[in-house]
This record gives sequence, C-alpha cells and structure tokens, in this order.
Amino acid sequence: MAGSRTSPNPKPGEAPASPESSPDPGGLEEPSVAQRRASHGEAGTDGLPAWARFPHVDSSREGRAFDSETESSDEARRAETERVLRELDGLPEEMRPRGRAAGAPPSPRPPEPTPANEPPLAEPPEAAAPADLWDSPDTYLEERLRIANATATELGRDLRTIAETWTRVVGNIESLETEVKHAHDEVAFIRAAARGGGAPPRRLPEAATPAPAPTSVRTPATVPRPGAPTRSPGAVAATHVPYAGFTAERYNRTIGALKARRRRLAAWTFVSAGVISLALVTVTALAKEAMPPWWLSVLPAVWMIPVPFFVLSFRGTQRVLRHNHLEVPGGPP
Amino acid sequence: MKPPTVIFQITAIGKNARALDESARSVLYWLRNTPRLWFRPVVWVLIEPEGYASAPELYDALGREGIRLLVVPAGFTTPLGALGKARALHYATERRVELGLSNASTWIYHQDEETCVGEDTLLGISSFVRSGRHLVGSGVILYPIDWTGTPTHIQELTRSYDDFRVLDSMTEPGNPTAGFHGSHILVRADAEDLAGWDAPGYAPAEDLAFEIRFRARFGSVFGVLNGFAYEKGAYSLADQLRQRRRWVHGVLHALFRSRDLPRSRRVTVAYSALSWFSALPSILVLVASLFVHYGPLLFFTGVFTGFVWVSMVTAYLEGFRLHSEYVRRSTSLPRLVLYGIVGALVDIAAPWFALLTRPTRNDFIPKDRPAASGQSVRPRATD
Repeated sequence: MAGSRTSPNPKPGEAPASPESSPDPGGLEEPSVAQRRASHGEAGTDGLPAWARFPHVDSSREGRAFDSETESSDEARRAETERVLRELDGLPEEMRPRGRAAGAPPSPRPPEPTPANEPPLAEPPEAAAPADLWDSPDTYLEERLRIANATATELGRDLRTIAETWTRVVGNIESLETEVKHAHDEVAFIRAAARGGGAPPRRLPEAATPAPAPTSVRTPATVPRPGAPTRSPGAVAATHVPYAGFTAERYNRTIGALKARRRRLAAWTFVSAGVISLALVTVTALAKEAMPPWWLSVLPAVWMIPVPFFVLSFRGTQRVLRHNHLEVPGGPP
Repeated sequence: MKPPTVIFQITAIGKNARALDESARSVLYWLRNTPRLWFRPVVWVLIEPEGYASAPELYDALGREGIRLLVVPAGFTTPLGALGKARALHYATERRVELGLSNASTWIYHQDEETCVGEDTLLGISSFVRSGRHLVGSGVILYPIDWTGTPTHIQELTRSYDDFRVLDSMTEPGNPTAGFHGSHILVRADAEDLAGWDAPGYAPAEDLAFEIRFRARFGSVFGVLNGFAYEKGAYSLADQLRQRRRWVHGVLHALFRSRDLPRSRRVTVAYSALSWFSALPSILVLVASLFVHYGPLLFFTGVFTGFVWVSMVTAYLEGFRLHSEYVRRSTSLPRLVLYGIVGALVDIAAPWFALLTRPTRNDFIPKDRPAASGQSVRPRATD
C-alpha cells in the first residue's frame, strides 16, 4: 500500500511535489528542461533523471517513457493530461467507504475502462484506508470467529479427555505391574512351598467324646479369593482407610525396636524401682514412728497382693521378647 | 501338600455395622495386596438377625464382595442352651461340619467386629499355619483405630503392652496369670469344634470359658501368633466401665460356674481376679496413710512398692511406644498423664462395680464412630 511518503499528491497547503502530479497542465515542464536541470546538478526531485522519477517504466534510451509523447503533438499531450485528470477525479470515489449497511447508497461503479481511456501507467487502485476497513466488519468474520471458537472449545475438551485417559492408562499400567509382581512372588512362593512342603498337621489327642468330624473331608476345590481386584492397589492405598497403613514394615519396625530395648527396659525398671523403694524406706526410717496396732498391718498388706502378678508379668514380657522371633517376613526389621 | 484354608470369622451381633464393614474390608484389602500367603482364605461374617436388620444393604454389599454372610437363625438353639456369642460361635461350628471344613487343614481366625487386620497379621497367620506346631495362636492387639487420645484410649495402651504378659502366660502350662483373647486368635478347626463353644446359659466371657475347656482337653498347645491385630477402644468412660464389668463377670462366671476348670487353674484365675480387685483398696489405703500412720510396717511394703509403680508406668510408656507408629499424639504430656490416671481409675473401680451389678446380655458397646467426634485426630496409618 502506498503511503503518504510515496504519494505523489501534495499535502494540503503544499505546492505540487512534481510537475507530473500537478493538476495544472500549464505548469508542466518539458522533460528537456528537467534534463537540463539535472545535468547542471540542481537539487530536488525535479533534478532527478527520468529513470529515478519513474522507476516503474523503462527509462532507457530505447524505451524512454516520454519519448513518444515528447515527440508527439500537443493534442496527444492534452489527451494524456485529460486521462490523468480523470483518474485523479476518480480517486475520491475509490476512497469512499464501502459499507453494506442497510439503506446505504451503493457506491458508484467506476467507469469501465476502455481502450481509449485506460490509463497505461496507472497501477491497480490501492485498498482503502485501514480506518475504513475496520469500521464495519465482514459478516463472514463473525461466522468464522464462531466456528473457530467452537473448534477451540472442542479441541480443549478432547485434550482434557486425552489427559484423563492417559492418567487412567498410567494407573492401569502401575496396577498391572504390581499385580504381575505379586503373581510372580506368589508363584515363586507356591513352588518353593511345594518343594519344601509344610509341616504335616499334628494329630489331635484322643477325645473323650467322639469327634463330629466328617467321614470325608470335603474342602472346596477352589476357595474363592475374596474381593477380586477391581481397582488398582495404589488407588486403594490412596484412599483414607485406616488399615492401609498396617504394613509388615511398620510392624517389624515397632516390634524390632521393642526387642532392641528389652535389656534397657529391664535395667530401667530395676533401677527406678530401687530408687523409689529406697526413698520410701528412707522416709519411713526418718519418720521414726511407733509401731501401730497389729490390725493396721493388714492394710499395707493389700499393697502386696498384686506384687507376684507384676513380677510374673515382667518376667513373661522379657521372656516372650527374648525367645520369640516375632518379626514377619514382609518387610525390613 | 495343599495349603490350608483359613476362615476369617467375624462374630458379632452386627449392630456396629460400619465397624464390622471396616474389619471385613481390611481382610479383603490385605488379602489382595499380600502375596506369599500360604493359605487359601475365606471370609465369614456371623451376625444376629437384629444386626442384619440394622444395615441390610451394607451386609448384602459385603456378600457381593465374596464374603459369606451367616445370620444365626432366631430360633437356633445349642444342645446345652448357650446364649449370646457362644451360641453364634456354636452355630458356625455346625456350619463348618456341614461344609466339611472341620478338619486339620482348616483354621479359624477369630475377629470381633472392630478387629482389623494388616499385612503383618496375614503374614503371621501364614507362618503359624505353615509351621503347624500349635493348635491355637494368639498375638498382640493394638488400638489405633479412631484414636482420639481420650482417657479410655490412653488406658487401652496398657492392654497392648500387657499382651506380652498374656502371650507368655498363655504358652505356659497352666496359664498362671490367666491370659487369653477372644479376638486375634487362630484355632485349628477340628480342635475348635471338638472343644466347642457350647455351654449352659450365658457366659459373659465365652473366650475364657473356651480357653479353659480347650486347655483341659488338649493341654498346652498355645503358641505366639506374630503380627498385630488392630482394634479400637471404647468411646466413653461409661462404655469402658461396662466393658470391664463384663470381663469381671466372665472371670467370676468361670470361677464359680465352670465345671472344666481344674483346681490349680481355679487358683490362678482367682489370684488374677484378686489382683484386680485389690487395686481400689490399695488406693484407699494410700489415701488413709495421710491420717493413719503405719509406722515401721512401711519398711516391708516400701521395698516392693517401687516395683509396682514402675511396672504400671512402664505399661503406659511402652504401650504408647507400640502405638507411636500408628497414631499421632495430639495432646500434651500433662494431659496424657491426667487422662491416664482417669482411665486407670475406671479400671480400678470396674471390678467393684461388677460386684454391685448383675450380668446382662444388653451390654452393647458402641464401636461405630460417633458422627460428631473423632475427626480431630486421624490415625497415622492414613498418612
């Protein structure tokens, strides 16, 4: 699009920039004069050679733009001037806004170019000014925006669906991996058990009363494994069920810590009990009280009743922790 | 050799439906997520008709998950006329005989309605049934579910540590300190069915009666079951008091009504009960010492008093350490001490309260979490 910098039209209040743009045919200078000025080194546009002032035409000696006109008659020059003037007159019509609002008068149709009046050097008419273009948007633009908006929404929805599907697929893969690992462990365990075998069931001692045991043991061939996996273990673990944290690892850690401090526990019990007892006996000795009536001795004896129970309890706890392998084979001790 | 069958049997009235549902689902969850189990699992839920009526949809849903739901018929009676839980357990015995599951390759893992299992529980069961050295196994029970740090829950900490005493006593000939559980026990099916649960009338502590019968019949065949079971304490001090009262009634019932209790065993059970009863007089004597001077008598008692006190404090400390992997402490240490004292006072008063009241079958201890409480502290298991 041609800007004002390249427009040959004069600005308001300005003199015509070049003789070609002047509407006054009498003001035109002959090319020979211009050429003379150029040859004398005169400044300004008028001093430019023809090839510089009219770069869109071949200004060489063989194809000089104005050679024919220069050598034509005055009538031909006049006709040329009139064509230029007509074209200039048509410019405001071209610049007029082309809104399609209802009731707007249709823009005048430019005259059909004829071979007689067709401007040989005129460029195709430039588009209208930007302000005029945005003044009234095209109806199709609204439709295109609507379609684009709907498509973008649908695309976003599809993307979200893909993301959800992906998340589900990842969860299923994790579940699959977990189940395969468990199945592998299970198979390895069953094979090892089949090789080693379990202890045969111990025979019960003869009962005084006849046992109501059935004549034929009918253990179900396939005991259904309850709760077939319907969702991934990870998904179950993520939910807030209190039993999800009851793991073998926690158990082993808890029971291992208790077993590790068994000796310290015994030492602490004896030392603390000794200190307390020593303090009580000391206080009793310092009190220097007289012997009470004999029947009062029954009352402190009540304190002695649970002493054997506590002694057995202490001994039993120490023994269970010492003699039993309490860990389970599911996690690190 | 084919792996044995383990029946996870949850026996309850069924009115604590949500707690029971959680227990059953803990079994399903860990069966699904624990490989290398050397047994074939079956899950039974054994409830009363009124329990089923309280939440039929929930129980039907459990049935659809592969759990066998057994509702004890309202008109079912045992040969000896057992009532309460013993009646339901006898009903399960009859069903096992009918199904051909009363044999040496079937084991029963007994659960209360709030007994959840973990991976360690299943691995412990697997090891136990594979070794086959004992007919009965029992282990340690923790109480981390719905932990809120109330006085009742603080008091339950001591039970977990005391379970080591129970395990030792149980595996000793004669069970000198009368230790046993009604839940988290594993029994070989044929032996259990031979010993039976049937007894005349209502037995408040049917587990103690069963242990007495079983020991009298098979001797010292008890072993340690590795792995914890996970339960929940009572939600209120009143519930704690009623629960303990039932235990005391059970001990007294065994002492005075059980025909299978040998003389030596009767002595040990009586002594265990006496130890519990002596707690309240001990406190009263201690308070009385502020006014009555016992003088030189304290030389003798003072030597042992330190040991008793330290043993009691150790039970709280070690009980809390056992739970520390599973619960998050939300209360300050002074409050824990205060709550521990309050919980202990309830346990101290329970046997005397039991003497003043009669056994009742209507002692229903709620185990379903109240809607408005228990939300402030979450078990660490869910972290």
